[in-house]
Amino acid sequence: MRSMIVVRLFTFLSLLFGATAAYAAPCLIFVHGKQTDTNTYTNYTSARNYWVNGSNDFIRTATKNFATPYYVVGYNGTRRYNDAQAAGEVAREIVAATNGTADAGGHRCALTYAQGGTFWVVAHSMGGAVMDFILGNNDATDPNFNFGGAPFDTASARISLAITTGGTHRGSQGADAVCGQLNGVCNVIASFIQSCDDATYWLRSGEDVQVKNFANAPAKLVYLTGGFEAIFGSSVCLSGEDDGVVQYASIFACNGSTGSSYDNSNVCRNNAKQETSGFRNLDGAHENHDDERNDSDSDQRRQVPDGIWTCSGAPCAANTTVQSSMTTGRFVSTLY
Amino acid sequence: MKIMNTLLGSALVLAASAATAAEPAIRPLGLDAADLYREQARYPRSSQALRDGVDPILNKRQINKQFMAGPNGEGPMLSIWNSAISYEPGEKVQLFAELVKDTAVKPIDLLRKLEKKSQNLTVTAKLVGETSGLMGEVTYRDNGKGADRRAGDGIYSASFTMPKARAPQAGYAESVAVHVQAQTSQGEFRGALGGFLYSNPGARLTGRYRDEMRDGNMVVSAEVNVIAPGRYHLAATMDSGKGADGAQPMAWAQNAAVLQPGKQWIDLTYYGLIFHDMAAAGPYTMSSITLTSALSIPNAMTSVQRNVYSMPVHEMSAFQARPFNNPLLMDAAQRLEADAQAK
Repeated sequence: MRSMIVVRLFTFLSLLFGATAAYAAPCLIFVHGKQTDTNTYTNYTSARNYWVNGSNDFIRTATKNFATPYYVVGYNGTRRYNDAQAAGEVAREIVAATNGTADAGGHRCALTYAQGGTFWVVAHSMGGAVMDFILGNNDATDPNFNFGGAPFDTASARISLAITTGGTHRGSQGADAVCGQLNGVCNVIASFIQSCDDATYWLRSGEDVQVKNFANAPAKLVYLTGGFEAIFGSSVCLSGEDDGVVQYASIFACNGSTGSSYDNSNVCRNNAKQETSGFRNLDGAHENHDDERNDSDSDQRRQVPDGIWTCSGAPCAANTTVQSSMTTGRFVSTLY
Repeated sequence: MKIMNTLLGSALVLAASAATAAEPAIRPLGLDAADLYREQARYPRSSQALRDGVDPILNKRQINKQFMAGPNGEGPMLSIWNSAISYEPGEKVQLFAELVKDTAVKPIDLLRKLEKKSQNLTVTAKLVGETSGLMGEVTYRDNGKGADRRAGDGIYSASFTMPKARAPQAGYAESVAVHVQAQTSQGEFRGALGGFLYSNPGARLTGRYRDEMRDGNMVVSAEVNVIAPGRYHLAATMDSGKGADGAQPMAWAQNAAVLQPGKQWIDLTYYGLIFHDMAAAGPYTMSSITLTSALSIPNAMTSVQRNVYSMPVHEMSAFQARPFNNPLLMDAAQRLEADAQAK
């Protein structure tokens, strides 16, 4: 213990006196969102391109121009989040990544779990609900432990933490509109979600499909960020701030009503989440749902209540503009 | 350890923002997580202290109001909700709907007055099972009769008795979507989609409980009567303190087991250190408990039972004070801290 303290003190002093602050990089594991076909499950290029828009590449930015090792997961994004080809596949791929297996594009983590590696999951959109289900069912006492024989326990044990961007933790009002098939619903969001397939049905904001009802608090921390840039048309269908597809109440995993109206100044704090522990606010970005995962809009970032940003050593006030131009990809790269 | 992480984190923040001292900075995420993991590691995952005084079981059963704007985002929005998350065969579902200006504000008084005057807002719903199809249709009323609590308050209500003939197999549940359609007196439509679970639990709590001290932990056992073989999950929150005003949620525990038909006991272990950390001298009450059939997804839920059992007060010395040191979390914390130390 004494030697550990000496090492830590040395580290502290060297940093204080000007040494460059640097972290051993974790391996980043990317989990995409909902799909309208099975391409990301069957074709690596589709899974990889989920994070790309033209010359903009979220993974390139988040990994500091590929200096940080990474692994790209591809699962069946048309299935419900708890499906064997969704959560089951993601868990299996996380285990594979932590064993040093390469993804289908040949990218692998530099260190395996056995070699002392650390692994951060970066999940977008439906990937948030998928991770909630995995991390909330990792223990033999959890309600849906290793559901369907998937290795939720091993995957959860090996993940250090998860970051979700635009996560559908409480579903999406857009999914309600698409699956409603009713007169008088807010229809302009439908084109952004397209069809009410199994994945969409299980991303509604109704209680019958909420991941919180089928999982416990996440075994590892889930850090929350998401966009507040409206998409012309669709955002009028969503309560409070939103990224054009998912409302803040869901992005920030708030307890209570899925349609509560939140913004950067009042979104639920860390003690008012869908679970009593395990979810932590990061910040809000002036990005829409696509920008959050394709690095194409370098824009403002705002502090949210209990957010990660500090101003002069203290937490910045909620809604403070903490960056004038930073994508979520770049933001992720600053977190390690 | 936490102090060292704080110092280390501060140093990293300082170093990262040295060039622009006034610029907002970020505390390294890994150290933030490591601190929390070391705190959480004090208890096993199956038994947690409730430091914020929030009951996790009741937290998940909060009423969920859903909102849907009109075409092109037009107001007012249609808000809908249910009286519960899950219903059993023969149980009465209570459904509610109202028009609201925005989710952040109360319903528009003017709108309510208009609707009250016209008395002809029409609200109907179709209840559709995910696999079994249409279960029934209901008409909502705002007349203060039946399911409706107060006439003319703008909240339209309906009830529907879950048909036993359509019940899922014992131990299973079905998602039921509630397609709500409202039409104003001006002929304007609003629609919204809600939902609940139609659960047919495969086991039930019998109401018999017992407790004992085991290895410095309080173990409360609940008897269950199993009808359908399969996996069952039990969770319960314990309050500490006297009286309705003084009692506070202080600990939560869960367990799961594969059970065969018949009466059996499930243990819930409340970790001894929690009683020390929460300075919970008792008396202790099992304030909420719920049994879930986890044979498939969706799970079949039972309603939450309240204040079902009181436990005797024990001397604090009877509770063990050793941290559990959850290896999953300790390992994660060590790895994250090692990353932070590396150059």
